[in-house]
Amino acid sequence: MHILYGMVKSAMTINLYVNTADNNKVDKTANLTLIRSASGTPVEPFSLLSPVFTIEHTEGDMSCNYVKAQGRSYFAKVDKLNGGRLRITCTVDALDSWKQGVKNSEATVIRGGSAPTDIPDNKLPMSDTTFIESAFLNIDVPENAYLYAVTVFGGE
Amino acid sequence: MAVRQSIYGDKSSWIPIRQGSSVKLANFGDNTATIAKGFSEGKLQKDKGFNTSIVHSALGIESALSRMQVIKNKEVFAEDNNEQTMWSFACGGGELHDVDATYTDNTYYMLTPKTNQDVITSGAELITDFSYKTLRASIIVSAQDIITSTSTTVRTDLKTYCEQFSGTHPIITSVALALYEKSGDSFTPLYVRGLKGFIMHNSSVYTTALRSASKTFGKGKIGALLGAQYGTQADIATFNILGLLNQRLAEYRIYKTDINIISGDCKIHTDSDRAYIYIEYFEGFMEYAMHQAACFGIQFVTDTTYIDVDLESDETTEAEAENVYIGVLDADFIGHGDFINGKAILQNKQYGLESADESEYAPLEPEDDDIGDLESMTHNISGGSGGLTIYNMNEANIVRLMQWLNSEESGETGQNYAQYISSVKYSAFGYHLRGSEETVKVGGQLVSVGGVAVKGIKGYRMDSVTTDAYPIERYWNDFRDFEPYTTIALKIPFADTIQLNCGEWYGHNLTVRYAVDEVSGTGIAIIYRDALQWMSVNVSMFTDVPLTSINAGTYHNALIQAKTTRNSALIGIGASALSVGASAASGNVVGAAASGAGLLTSIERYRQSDYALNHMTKSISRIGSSGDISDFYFEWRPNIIFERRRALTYDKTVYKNTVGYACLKTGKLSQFSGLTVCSDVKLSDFGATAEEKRMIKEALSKGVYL
Repeated sequence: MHILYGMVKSAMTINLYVNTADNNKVDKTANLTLIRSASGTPVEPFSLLSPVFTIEHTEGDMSCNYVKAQGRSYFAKVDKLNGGRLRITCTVDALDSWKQGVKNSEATVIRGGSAPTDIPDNKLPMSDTTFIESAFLNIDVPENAYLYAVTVFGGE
Repeated sequence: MAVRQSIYGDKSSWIPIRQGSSVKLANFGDNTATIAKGFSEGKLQKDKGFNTSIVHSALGIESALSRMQVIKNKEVFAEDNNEQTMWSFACGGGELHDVDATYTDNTYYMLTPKTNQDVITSGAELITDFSYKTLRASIIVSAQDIITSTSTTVRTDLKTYCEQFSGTHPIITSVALALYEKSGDSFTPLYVRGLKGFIMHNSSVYTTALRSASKTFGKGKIGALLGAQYGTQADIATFNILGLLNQRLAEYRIYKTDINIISGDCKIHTDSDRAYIYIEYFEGFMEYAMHQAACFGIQFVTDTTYIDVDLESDETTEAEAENVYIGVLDADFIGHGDFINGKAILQNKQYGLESADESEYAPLEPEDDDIGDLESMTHNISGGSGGLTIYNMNEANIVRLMQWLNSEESGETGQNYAQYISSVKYSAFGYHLRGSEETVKVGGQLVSVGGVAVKGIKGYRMDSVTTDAYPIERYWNDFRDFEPYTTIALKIPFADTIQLNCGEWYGHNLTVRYAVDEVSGTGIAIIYRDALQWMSVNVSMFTDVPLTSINAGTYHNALIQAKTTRNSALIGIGASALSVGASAASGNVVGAAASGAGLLTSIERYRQSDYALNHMTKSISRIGSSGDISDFYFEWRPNIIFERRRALTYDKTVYKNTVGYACLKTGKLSQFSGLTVCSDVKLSDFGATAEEKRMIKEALSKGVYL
C-alpha cells in the first residue's frame, strides 16, 4: 500500500462517463458515453478498488456516474466541493474491469437462455388448474364379432 | 443440359401480398408434351411414392427465417434474433395434429403426420418475438397421392385415368412460405413466397378429374392443391390448412397469389410483378424435385411401396438400399441431402446447431436395450381335459340358443338343458375364432344353433387382443412435460387405472395387450413400451351375461312340479266328492263333512297350483361372480389421459431478463448471452485482486448480463 500510495500522489488522467447499463452487465462498453477526460488528483489514502479523486469542475461533470482510470472501471459518485472542485468517489466495477477474463471463464449456468428447458423451473408461472388430453387405444372389433362364449358340459 | 438455377438471389422479388390479388400461373397445359418427356425420364412410377414418417419442417422454417434475415438486411430482426419461440403445427391426411410445441433454439421437433391418407400435409410455424416486432412464419407442405384412396368414385376414377394414361399415378406437392407481422392481436401478411408446385403426372384427363374432385372434396384437400395449380376457384392449401388450425386468430383469410409450376419445360416467368421460383429442366430433374420436396418434410421412397411405407418396415430398414431421402434446406431455400436407409433415420436425430449455448440438451440417447418381441409373448397353454366345450357365438346365435332353451321343443323333452350350460360370457373384444361354425350340442342334444367350437381345449387356453400402438409425445418440450406438471394415466377397462412415468414413455409407443384365459376370463393386461413388456395388471375380462336360460330350467322344473300338484289336487277333489256322496248316502254326516272338508282342501290346492302355474315368472338372475355387468358402463377401450397444468400468461421477455429460464449448461461464458446465472465458476487466469474475483463470482451467482 505504501508503494501504491507513492505512485498515485500526483494527478492522473481519468475518463468520466455516463453509464446507462445495469450494474451487473459485464461489458458496459456500448452503454458508456464519454463526458471528458479529466486530471484527477487522488485523495489519500489511495485505494485501488475504491479510489477517491478531486477534479476541477467543468460543466457536465455532475452527470458522471462512471469512471475509467488505471485500467479499471469504477462506479462513481460525484460531490461538489468548495473552490470549484468535485470529489469523485469510486467503487471498482470488477465485471467490466475484467470483462474479457470473465468471458473466458468456465461456468455452469443455471439460469439463462430464451425458453424453458427440461430443467425444472419452479419460478415459471403455472396455474394449478389443469387441462386434459385424452386418447383411446383402438381395438379393432369387427362387425358381427363373436362376442359370446358359451361353455357347455361335455367335452369331446 | 440447362444449368439449374434459382432466382432466390433477387431479394427485391419479394412482394407484399395483396388480398384478392389476381392469380397468374405458369401455363402448364401447353407444355404437357414436354413435361411428359421429363417425367418419362423420371423415377416416379407406379407403386412408388413417398413416406412421411419423419418430418423436419422445423429445420426448414428456421432456414427460411435465416433467409428472411438476409432479405431484410437484419432490419426487421433485432440483435436478439436468436430469441425464438416456436410453435409448430403439422397435419397429415387432412387430420390436424396440433403439437403446439415450444421450441428452444436448438430443438427440432420431429413432426410425424399420419400416413396412408389421401393428402399429406406437414409443416411448421415459427412465431418469433423480437424487440419491436413479432413475426410469424409458416411453411406448409402438401402432398397428395391420388392412388391411396379408392373409396370415393372420383378418386377411383382418377386412379384409373392415370394408370391408363401412362402407368403412373399423380403426386402433387406444393410448398408455401408465408410471413406475417403481428400487430396487436392480429397478424398482417407481409409476404408469401416460395410456393413450389410439383405436379408429377402428365395426364390432362386427370387434371380434368382433379377439377371435378376439387368441387367434391372442398378446400384444403384436392381442391386446394388444384387451386394451387390453377389458382382460379380454389384457395391455396397452405392457408386453408392453417386456417383450420387458427380459426380463432382469423388472420388466415383467403389469399390468392402466384404459384409457379416447376415442370419439365417451365420457362422463365417474365411477370416481374410477382415472386416466383423457377428451375429449368435438366437431366435428373425429377429426382431433384423430389429432393427439394423432401427437404420440406416429405420423404420419398423411390424403390419400394408407396405412401404407407413405414420406416420401421422391412422395406426401408432391413434392406441395404439407401432409399429414403433426408435433407435440409439452406438459407436460399434449396435442399441438400442424400439418400440413406430408413434405419439410419430412425437412429439419428436431426440436430442442427452445435454450439455450447444451443446443443446442451441433445441427449446422448444410448440405444434402448429393450428389444422385446410383441409377437412372442402369448402362448397357447394346454393342460388336462376339462370336460368342457366352449362355443363362440355372435349375438344372433346366442339369442337363438336362449330361445331354444325356452322353447316348447326343449321343454317337452322333460330335460332341463340349461343345466348343461356352465356359463355364458361376454367379451367386449370378441373371441379369437379357431374354426368355422358347427351345430351346437347341449346335453347331448344337437341344437340348430351355430357356434364356433374352441377345439382341443383342455383346461386353460390363453387368447389375446392387442390395441393399436399409441405414440406418447411431448407437449411443451420442456420440464413441464414431466411430473408434477404433467401426469399420464392409462385407464385399462376390466382392470385398473395406472400412472405412467412420463420420462419413461416419451418417444415410445404404448400398446396394451390383453392375455386372457378363455375359460375364466381372468388374465393380465400387458402394457408394452414399443415391443418391450413394461408392466402388467390383472384383468377380469369377461362379463357374465344375465342368463334367462338358468331360470328357464328352474321354470321347467317348477312347471313340472306345479302340474303334478294340480293333477293330484284334481284327483283329491274327485275322491272327496265321491266320499261326500257315499257318506251322505249312508247317513254319515260327520264323514260327509270330513269328506267335504277334504273336497274344499283339494279345491283350494288346485286353485293355488293353478294360480302358481299362471303366475310363474321367469326372473332374471346372473350366474358366476367374476366380472361385473357394470363393466358394460365403461368405455371398453384403454384410455390414455394426459393431465397438464395450464400455463399462465407472462411476459417472456421480462421473465428472461429478470428471472431467466432454468437451465443447466456448461461452457465458456462468452458462449452465453442475456441474463446468466451461474452456480459454479472457474475464473480464467487474469490479474484481478482476490477481492475483485470474489465480487465477480458473487455477481455471477446472482446473475449478470452477458
